[in-house]
Amino acid sequence: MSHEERNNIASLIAGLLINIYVIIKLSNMFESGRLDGPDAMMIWARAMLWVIPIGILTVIICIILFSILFAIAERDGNPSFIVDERDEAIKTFGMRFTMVVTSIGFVAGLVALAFGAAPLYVFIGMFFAFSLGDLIGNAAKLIRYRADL
Amino acid sequence: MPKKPKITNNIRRLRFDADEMTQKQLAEAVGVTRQTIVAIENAKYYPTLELAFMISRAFDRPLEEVFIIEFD
Repeated sequence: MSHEERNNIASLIAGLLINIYVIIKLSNMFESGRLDGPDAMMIWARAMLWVIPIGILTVIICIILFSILFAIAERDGNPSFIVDERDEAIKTFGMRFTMVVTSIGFVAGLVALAFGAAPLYVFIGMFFAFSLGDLIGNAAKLIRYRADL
Repeated sequence: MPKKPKITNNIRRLRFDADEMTQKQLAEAVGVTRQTIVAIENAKYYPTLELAFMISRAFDRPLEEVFIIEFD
């Protein structure tokens, strides 16, 4: 398994973990009534801003853990960190899926706003559309990596 | 519209002829991952012109001896 393929699996798992964390956090916020008041958007935005560093940290930890686990599993004391042209081609392939899903989510959000949907729910929907786009892009890359061999 | 040409290669045979060079050795010689060499050998991935020339140089053979293009 190449370095980029390992990173791809780690990013996929990290993405799932971050989404689970956000779902739990949002559920708690709704249950406690914190998102019912007039400053709901501000509270939500602050919570989502924290998700960015948490997400970056989760991806880094997952990549390090995966690198160690794969090195042990493959008994490779000198793992390769080469990123080549095929990795770049697969990255572009996955990015197309990410762009399509996030664009659909963004436009759907705009349409929902245009028809009078509550901005908080639209922004939550857009956030998950972007997350879903990232997950689908990573899944597409993983499929492509496996299909090429 | 012309049909897409089929591109095959002789990398497996050339590796065998080159003292049974492994996929890993070839990958290291041209600076790519072993998985990329596997994908190229199986005709699942077509390399860029630059990589194709580097592979042919690794075997010290002309490009058309390593990669074959077939027009129907």
